[in-house]
Amino acid sequence: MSSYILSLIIWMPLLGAFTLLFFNERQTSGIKIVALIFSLIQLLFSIGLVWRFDPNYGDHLLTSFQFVEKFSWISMSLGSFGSFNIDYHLGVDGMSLWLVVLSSLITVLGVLASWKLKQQVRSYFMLYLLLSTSIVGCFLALDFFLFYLFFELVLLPMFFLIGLWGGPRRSYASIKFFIYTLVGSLLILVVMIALYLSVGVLDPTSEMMIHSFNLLHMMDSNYFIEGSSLAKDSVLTFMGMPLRAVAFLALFLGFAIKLPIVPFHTWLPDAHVEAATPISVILAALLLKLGGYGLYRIAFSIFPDAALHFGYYIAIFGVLAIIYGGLNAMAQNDLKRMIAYSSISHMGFVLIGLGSFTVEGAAGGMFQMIAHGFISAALFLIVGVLYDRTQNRKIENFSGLATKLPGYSFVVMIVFFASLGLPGLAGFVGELLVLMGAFNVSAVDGMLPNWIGIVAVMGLLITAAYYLWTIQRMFLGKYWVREHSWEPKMKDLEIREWLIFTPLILGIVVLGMYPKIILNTMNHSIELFIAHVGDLKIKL
Amino acid sequence: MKINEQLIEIQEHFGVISSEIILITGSIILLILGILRLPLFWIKVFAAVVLLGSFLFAQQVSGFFFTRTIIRDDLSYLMTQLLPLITLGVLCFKRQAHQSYEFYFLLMSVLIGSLFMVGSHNLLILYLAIELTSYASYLLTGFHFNEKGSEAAMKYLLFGGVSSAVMLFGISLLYGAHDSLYFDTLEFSLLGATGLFFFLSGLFFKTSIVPFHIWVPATYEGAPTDAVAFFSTVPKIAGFAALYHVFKWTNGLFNPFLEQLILLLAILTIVWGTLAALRQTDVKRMLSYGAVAHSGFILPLCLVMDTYSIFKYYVIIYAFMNILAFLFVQLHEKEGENLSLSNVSGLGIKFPLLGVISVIWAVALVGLPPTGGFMAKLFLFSTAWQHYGSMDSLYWLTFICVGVLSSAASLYFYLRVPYFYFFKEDQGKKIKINKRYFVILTLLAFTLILLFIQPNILDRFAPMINP
Repeated sequence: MSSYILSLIIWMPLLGAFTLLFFNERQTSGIKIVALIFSLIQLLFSIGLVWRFDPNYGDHLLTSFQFVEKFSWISMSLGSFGSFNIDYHLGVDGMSLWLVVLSSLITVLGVLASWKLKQQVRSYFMLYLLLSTSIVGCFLALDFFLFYLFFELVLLPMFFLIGLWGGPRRSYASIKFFIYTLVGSLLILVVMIALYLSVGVLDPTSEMMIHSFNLLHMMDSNYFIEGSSLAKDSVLTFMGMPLRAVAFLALFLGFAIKLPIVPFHTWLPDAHVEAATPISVILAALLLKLGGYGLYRIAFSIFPDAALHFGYYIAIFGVLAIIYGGLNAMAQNDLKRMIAYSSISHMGFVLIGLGSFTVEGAAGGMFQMIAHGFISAALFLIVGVLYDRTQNRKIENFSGLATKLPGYSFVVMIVFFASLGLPGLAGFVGELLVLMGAFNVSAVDGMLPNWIGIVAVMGLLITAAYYLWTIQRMFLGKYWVREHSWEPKMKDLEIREWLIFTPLILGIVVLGMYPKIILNTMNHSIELFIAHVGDLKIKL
Repeated sequence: MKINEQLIEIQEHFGVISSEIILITGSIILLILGILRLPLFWIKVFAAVVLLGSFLFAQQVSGFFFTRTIIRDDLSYLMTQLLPLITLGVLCFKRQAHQSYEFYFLLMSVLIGSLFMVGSHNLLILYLAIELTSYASYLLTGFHFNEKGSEAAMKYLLFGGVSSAVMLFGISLLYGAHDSLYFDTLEFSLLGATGLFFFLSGLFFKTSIVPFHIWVPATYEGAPTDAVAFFSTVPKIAGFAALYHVFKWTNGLFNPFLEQLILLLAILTIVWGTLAALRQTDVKRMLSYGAVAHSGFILPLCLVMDTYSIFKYYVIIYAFMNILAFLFVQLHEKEGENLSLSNVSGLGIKFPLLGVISVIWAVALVGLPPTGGFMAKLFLFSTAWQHYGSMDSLYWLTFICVGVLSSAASLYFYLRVPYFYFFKEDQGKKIKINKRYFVILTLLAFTLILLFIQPNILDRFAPMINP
């Protein structure tokens, strides 16, 4: 299928960024309109992608990618080192499809949410569009090098977006974010190099081994060179562990820092709190998904044997994130910080879903990521609404907002309830599927013990507790705000804000009521994924 | 062979070192032109012409020449192409008071010494070449003629003197062990091994490998910035090329002990350079420690054979990054003052383009995409992993791990320049920058990005004769 729709989706925002070069710093509205137009075009293309997507394409994970584009990008010979080949290789399947749609939607909403920005508008939107390009690029790349390029390229614009347009402790937060995630991606880099050298095909004419960064080759054990460091039969060990297991752990850690998992999560609350609202939205709704997607597409697909071995521990990390994130969220008095911790807590479900190695679990984890994309975007926008009006986010400074800001409170209720997993809203479906997967697998082969599911359910209880408590403290009771000067600014949502919230709330409700839209297109890919990942017996 | 025949042979061989001869003649004429009080601009133009000439007339041949004291191969051809071009880059630096015809004459002398360093196949010739670069470098260091500069030059001289004495001692041991000074006659013996390590210490001094790096921060801090940009590239790259040659002839003899020792030194260099750079506030000092860390990255490339192409990529990209970084620093400096981080606070509003360029060189020096620095690191780690995979040697694995971790740590200090540029408050310091340099900086930065997108373009630069 020859079509350049994926390239168009990826490069459209970058084209927008280049267009902005022709603008003067003072033409702020023009700049915003250009950014909006280009992100809207991207959104249209990704909706078109959904339209043309065939949900039952391919019969094996390696052949299930659609709209594939593949060109040779870099091909150079390095003497006896052999030749160095990098492809420009894109493709989409049921797992990445919705993440692409999600990221183009969030990009548009983020532009709208930044509409009131006044300082250095041009640089902001250029970085913003570059960020959008790199995020979508990550979801669509099928070449490890290309993926890594986009994965790293996310960091730079994000660093500046947090550091230049953020809150008071922005420089600390941005450096911390950069270094944490850089450590993760350097781990990925090492594994990428090792994989590159372990995967190859023999060129029949010149008898030379041609290595490649092709992710599909890396997923296929036939392409591994016999005796190479990461081949199935590799005898190399690192601190007593087989090298494949170590490589998997490095990849897992690399992506898990981004997800984040609990001991490596401390960059997240800082970065989220200090970043401006639209940037927090991107961080929570899209950047965390890069970690999750990387686990699905790369860590698990390439090292299924090692993944199976560590499935139990991964699920434990998931539970830990759910409980620890939840308890931390409950203890916060800053609304944004609370939401940041709730993100950590919700991402724990993705790990449990992955660790369960069932179709339900994996689909649940994927669904959870998409649902969380909508919900967390809305959550951070909610904080943004309050912060725009009062420059304050402390929970204790507000009370009884429901009487004064009914529209706002309506939005808050829906989103909070969606986040705590009320049936009928988006958050419920993913969590339910994950828990089904977790309980299922304990009945089938005892991969995960029952207590994992049970403790995860307790986590839901904690989530409910802190959301309800927040609603009670901030929105119910008698109307009161700490400062008098805030009184005149406490106005209900304006049209622009409704424009941002409506698609998110529609998404949350539709996904909750009729999750089939996503599950149907995703299901086939998830089944292939589980078939690929799960059919290997434990070898370690 | 009779002396007569040798003389005739030598006569015939002069064509082989044409680029060196052009440089020597050119620098003598430059000195004369200087004495005739030609304006500095024309001196610079003349120097540029000489450098271009030596670049264009370099001969790509292979074999031994001058009674086997000079070797010509792919590597020495690469150096005759690369080093004059880097020097040409150094000529483009901003005009400062210290620049005079003597300064450029000394630069040329270092360059000539560096080229002979790469081309020598005899310990004594190598020693002479190193001394030539060293003496000229000592002088260049003090060209500010202030207290700091003199101190730096003195330090450099003392350390350099000791290291060259040790090196000479090593050479004499090697001579005693093998009765010959040619690289290819070295054989394994205990005395020879001892001699070799003493001898290597001299080259390690030139290439700033820990623990022979002590002169680096002081020298870089005190010397004029264009001289620093030169030191951190030309003699250093030449030193690595010489190491490459030395290891090529001795590698089989002293392995695996030599390999382990070198890797250990490389790891130590990376760690030391990175950790020391973390706390610097003087930009040049910070970059100097960064350069030390980079030496640790290049060193293993000299050790393993068959890495010519990767060595080539790494040094070319390294040269680009360093010239760009130091040119950037020099443009922000006031006459006679060193640039500290606070001097660039808040300039990002006034010079957004320069800010972007500072991001590019910082990111390239860390080794992140989308810059050539990433490609260089990628190739390096790939070779390292290949060696680890084929030999299962923990040293290589440690090298990879340390290298990766230090990249993460080095982000912290390299990024401080763009960080101060954009994130700190403007302190109202006035800095004037000629628009002309924007073009040069942009071109260099663009090249760094181009080297990421299409690293193949370097394939045509000094290709191997027999791949």
